[in-house]
Amino acid sequence: MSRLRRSTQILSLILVNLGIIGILETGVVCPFFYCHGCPAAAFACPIGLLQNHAALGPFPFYALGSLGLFAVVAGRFWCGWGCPFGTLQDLIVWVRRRRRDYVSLGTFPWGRLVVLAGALIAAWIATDTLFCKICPAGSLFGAIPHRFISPELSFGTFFYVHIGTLVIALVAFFLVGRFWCRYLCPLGGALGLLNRVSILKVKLDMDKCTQCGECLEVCPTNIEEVEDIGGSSDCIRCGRCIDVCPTDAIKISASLRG
Amino acid sequence: MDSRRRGNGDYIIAMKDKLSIMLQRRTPVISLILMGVFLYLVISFAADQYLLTRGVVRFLCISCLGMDG
Repeated sequence: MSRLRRSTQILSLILVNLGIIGILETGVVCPFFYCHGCPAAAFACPIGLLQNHAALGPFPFYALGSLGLFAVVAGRFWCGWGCPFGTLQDLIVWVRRRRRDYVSLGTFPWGRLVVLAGALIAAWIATDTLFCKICPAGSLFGAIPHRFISPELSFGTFFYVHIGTLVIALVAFFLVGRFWCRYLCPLGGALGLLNRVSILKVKLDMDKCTQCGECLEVCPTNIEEVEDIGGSSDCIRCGRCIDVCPTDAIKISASLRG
Repeated sequence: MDSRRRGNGDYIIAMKDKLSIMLQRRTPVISLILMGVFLYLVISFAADQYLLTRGVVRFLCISCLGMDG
């Protein structure tokens, strides 16, 4: 499954950059975090778009509907299988070749929702997309590529703020696996709200489970209880737990049943 | 005092379990309702807001990336 996941991560990175062909710069909302400031972006970043609506109106019915659909269909599956920023974090963990985190910070699922609320309220008050100005994904996928392809533009204070937040984020990714996804990602916060009712589910068969803890050991978001696998708003449905389960007690499937 | 606190704790846990079972039983209904609502929002407002969204993707907010014209 991990090979399949890596393939979809690469495929999604290609897909989000199809905007390099002008006609493919669409108005479709992306189910994961990707800056539409990227010169090749094909889709709209949901957080950037919601901020735009909060700052300038009208009410984002289309963006909310799209985001809600993504969440009801697959919950945070998008974070584990498609998000390029998540892929970067996986890559760092792979470079580090450590299963467990160096630093254990515990869980704080509300942090992501606080960031989401903060970003939208700030955009509404300032009538500007303030979160975009400090977003580390925007730094990586938007600001840095433009530094090379648009040398005619001058780079001001916020460019260096972008670089600063990216450096801080990269250090955090080295210290804590999937740090962004676990504590700060506003989109992960929104998608995680519907993890429990999404159609695509990770299910644990308690009758088969021997409580060996292998699944918790490899979990990139550090889920602490076996019962939380699949249902927790932290679960990104990456499927690592499925790969290591010795009794095949964990399965990923699409069904309406809880 | 301790036993009363424990009693409250048990009550809360029991309520949580009850809520969790109730939610689990109604998950299909909740999923379908939410899906219907979100689908309705997308279909109804795509005509108005799709082009607006496309404009956001096409128009580069250079100040967002820390650049000046």
